Amino acid sequence: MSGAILSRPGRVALSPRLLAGILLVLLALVPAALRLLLGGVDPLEQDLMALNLPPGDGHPLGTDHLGRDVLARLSAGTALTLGTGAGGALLAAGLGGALGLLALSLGGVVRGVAFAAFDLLRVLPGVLLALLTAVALGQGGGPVMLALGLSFAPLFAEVARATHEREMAADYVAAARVFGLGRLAVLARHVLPNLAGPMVTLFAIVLPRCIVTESVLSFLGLGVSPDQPSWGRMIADASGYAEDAPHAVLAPMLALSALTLGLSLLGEHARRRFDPLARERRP
Amino acid sequence: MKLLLPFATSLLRAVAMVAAISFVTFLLIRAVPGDAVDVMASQGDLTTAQQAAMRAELGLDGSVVSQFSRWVGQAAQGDLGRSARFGKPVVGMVAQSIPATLGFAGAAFALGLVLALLLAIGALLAPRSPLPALVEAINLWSIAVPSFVAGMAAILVFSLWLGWLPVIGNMVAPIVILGLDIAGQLAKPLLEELREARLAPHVRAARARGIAPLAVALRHVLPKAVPVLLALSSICLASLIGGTMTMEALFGLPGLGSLVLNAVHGRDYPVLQAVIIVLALGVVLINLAAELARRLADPRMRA
Amino acid sequence: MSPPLLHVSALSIGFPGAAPLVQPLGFSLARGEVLGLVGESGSGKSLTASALIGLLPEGMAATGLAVFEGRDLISLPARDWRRLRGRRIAMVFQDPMAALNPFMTIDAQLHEALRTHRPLRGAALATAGASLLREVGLDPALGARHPHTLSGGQQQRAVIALALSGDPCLLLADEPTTALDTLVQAQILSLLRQLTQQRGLAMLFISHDLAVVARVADQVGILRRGELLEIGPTADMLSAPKHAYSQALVAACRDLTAWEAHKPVAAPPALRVRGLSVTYRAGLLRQPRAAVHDVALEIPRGGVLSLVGASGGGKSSIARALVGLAEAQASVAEVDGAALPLGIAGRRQQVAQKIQIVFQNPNASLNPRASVAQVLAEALARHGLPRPERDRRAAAALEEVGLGAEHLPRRPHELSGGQKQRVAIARALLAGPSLLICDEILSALDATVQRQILALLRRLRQERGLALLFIGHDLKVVRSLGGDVAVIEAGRIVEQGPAETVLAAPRHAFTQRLVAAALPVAAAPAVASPPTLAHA
Repeated sequence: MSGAILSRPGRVALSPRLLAGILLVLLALVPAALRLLLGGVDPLEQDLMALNLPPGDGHPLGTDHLGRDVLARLSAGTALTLGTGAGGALLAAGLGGALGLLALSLGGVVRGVAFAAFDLLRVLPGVLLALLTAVALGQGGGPVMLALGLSFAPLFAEVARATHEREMAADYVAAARVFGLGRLAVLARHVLPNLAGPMVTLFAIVLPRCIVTESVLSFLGLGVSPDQPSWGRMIADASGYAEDAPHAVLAPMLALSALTLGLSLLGEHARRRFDPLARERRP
Repeated sequence: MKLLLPFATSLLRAVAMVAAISFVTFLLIRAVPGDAVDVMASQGDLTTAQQAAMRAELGLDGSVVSQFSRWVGQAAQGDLGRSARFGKPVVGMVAQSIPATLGFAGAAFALGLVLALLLAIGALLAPRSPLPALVEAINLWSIAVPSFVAGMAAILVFSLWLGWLPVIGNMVAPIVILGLDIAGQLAKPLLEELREARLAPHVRAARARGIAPLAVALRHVLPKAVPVLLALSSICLASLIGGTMTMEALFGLPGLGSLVLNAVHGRDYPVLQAVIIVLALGVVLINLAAELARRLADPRMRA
Repeated sequence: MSPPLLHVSALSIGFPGAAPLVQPLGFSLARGEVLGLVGESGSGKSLTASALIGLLPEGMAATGLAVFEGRDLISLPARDWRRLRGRRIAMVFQDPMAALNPFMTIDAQLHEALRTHRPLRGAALATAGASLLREVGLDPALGARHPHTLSGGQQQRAVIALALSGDPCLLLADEPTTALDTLVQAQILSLLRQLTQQRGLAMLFISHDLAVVARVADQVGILRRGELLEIGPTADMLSAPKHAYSQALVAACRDLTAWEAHKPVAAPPALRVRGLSVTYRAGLLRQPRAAVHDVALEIPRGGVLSLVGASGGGKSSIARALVGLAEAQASVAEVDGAALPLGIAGRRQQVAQKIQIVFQNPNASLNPRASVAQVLAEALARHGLPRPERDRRAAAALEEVGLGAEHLPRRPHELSGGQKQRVAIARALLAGPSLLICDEILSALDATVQRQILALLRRLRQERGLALLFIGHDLKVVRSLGGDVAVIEAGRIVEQGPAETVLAAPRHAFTQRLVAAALPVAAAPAVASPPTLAHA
């Protein structure tokens, strides 16, 4: 009745969180930008005369245990790291969001089977899924994306289900159904518009996690093939030589951390900005 | 008791889930071109007849469904087959690895849970202290910094540069790293839930009654967050398993993680299959326990 | 007269730097006295109570003076508040279920509160707890139970016992009966009144309902939009309110204009159902639960039927079944003499559209993202009309419910509760109904707005010959509508007939209790002299 929740007016245009996120992501993209602007050496070219060179002339970030230029590998791996992560997150959104919503609107057995499958995926830890896809499909970007997509899909399906349930229970949906509107019309008019925000937010949260998971899989030898320099792969390859060439481990570690930290900050910004629940929680 | 009926449903679902995971794993592994016998045949000379005999012995003949039903029948008797690489019974290999992994993961989780509870309750009671910022920071840390990167950094700093401890084979560093990771995942959502729970009318009522702040937090706010804490813990389980595997690989610890990774790289499918199913069984059992605990914790579900 | 226990002056509340939500107000309260604060939602009455117990929402601040036992509450440091809350000042809340900790038994909560205030242990603690429960009319054996196993009335008694645990002398009661059934409301009111007399408590009683306040308060203050319009003895306030708004509130407590009697028409009834049953299926393994058994209803064209009964009795299930939102069976179901298809699939047929419904909560019945034009278009979606025609009809429907076409592009959050309910009615009218189901459509509205919506319904009935199925708990409204009334208890009709007869001489025991609980304003014990209010 009285004493309703009052929100304070005004919104922050550029929060420190947003700024830090943007700066960190840009920092992680510097090697790739340098390569685009200046060109560079072949990331796969081995120079057995220049193994584990510290940063210096000709090799701004040094060379690794096979004499490959670290900066060249770092910049070449940017697209691979980002691409595999984004591909996985997109696949997760598609599988979880679109299929989940389709199953919800069809209802009945389809819904039951689809959500049992999502439950199953939830129980299987992502690493195990990746083990299975790596075993069944071999190593490579495709199987990794599939593993990422499958393991993060339940999150999207859960958001789709929660939104669907909340909307279907709303009186305005009851009113629409009283006017003889079918399931699909209700879905298009009431559920989808309210789903877009949470989905985008979830994507922003899942993206850095996909990148992290990709690097973990690469580290475990389950990721992209060895000659493709994803950052996780670089850390794994160089970890055996950390004593002789710490720079070859540190460079991809720092790049990876800057990218995922920056993206996480952006994701958190999106969540506070678009998720009304998260906003209400902090007055 | 009303408690039992929903729990029986959960139990049925859990059994179905383990069965489904077993079948899918089985199917995927059988779908790989080239089975264990092919691997052996490529290394030595085997006649077709010998290969067929080996397939029969390893249970690789017949249709997938008949193979699966045979496998289930044997598994029910405690026989998970023999390692394709070492020839040892899989059950023994898995059973040997379980205690190490369970102890390691359990210690890391306990550390993470205690840390998360302390941080979240502290941040709730002292909103002007640095604790809320700390909760935020370790949350970002756990999302953005993979545990193997933190592990790498620990090895570089402590072992190689400072020369403090022999890091390989040491348990302290990986447990702390994984514990921090878990704490980061739990503390922030827990704090958010506690903040929301504190807005509940009955919490306001308790404060209006003059109950002391710590008593309000522990008796009136925290119980409301228990279901969320249990749900979060189940979600953490997946990353706990991934983290344990990474830590075992990085720090050279024995356990299920090392076992399964070696099995993948050596195409030792019986071991791979067994470990995946054991882990899935573990996850399902822990989720079941969490579900039961959630029901027991809430008097509205008990009565 | 003794000096006042609490003296408030120039109390103002709000976010620092923003316009105040409560403008400077003042009052005093003596021991044993009850002050009622009446206001509609957003009037600032709950904020006033929150300020007096030091629990304003985060970020808000109060200025002014509130002198309680010689100390100013507004400038009191947090540490001193802890010694005051519960011990000198206590609070009773609106929703008793929400105000009790669901994880603790009543005894556990009561003992915790007693230990906080007094050095009690063991048997002495148990005895003190039991005697408090007895004082509020609860069997001490109920203390061992968890809140959710108690009825609403028992819960509110437990909340009151908790409030008394520190032996306070000022009780703040924030809408303490609003969430309760009418039957229970009366009992809690008399308990509170009795406690103030026996313990010499001062009580600040806050409610949106002047009729309720008048039954307990010695003084009444009227609040609107954060402003205390006037304050005075209850009898004076009821007989001679000065401010125009107070006059409207008092008028809203009095009897409503009776509607015109229904003139019989030679046409099939708007609605005829026989043997209507509604069952809910809770889950695969659970037994289906019957919410409505074998109900027969008939409403003549342009007639009115009111459904009354306790909440959870099946009134809304009947409404939902008639518009296909609940699974139902019936031996006969006709609208305007034609067969009415039950079930949601049947809503596609034109005949089913002749029954429309308006829901209780105007905030929930309009999609917050949709404009009024889009909301209204939904009623016409199945006709596939060209846009100009749709807009024309939408504007006409808005005008019919008393809103201008300028509201078409607005979104629900830009409308007041009454305006939203008008939009919901306009949306229902667009489908061309013969029968409009009003499912508690007044409950979420303020008293003065309720009158306006009732006037609108009355006009629609006259102009359109619209029949109404009115679901409500306010017998005053039901009496004014005339027509028939059906009393529902546990899914069955226990009494049915002309409203005048049933409410004047109820025969069934349940109806008698309903009628007895809805005492008119004038029965307020605080009013000593015979009331000047006219009432039926």
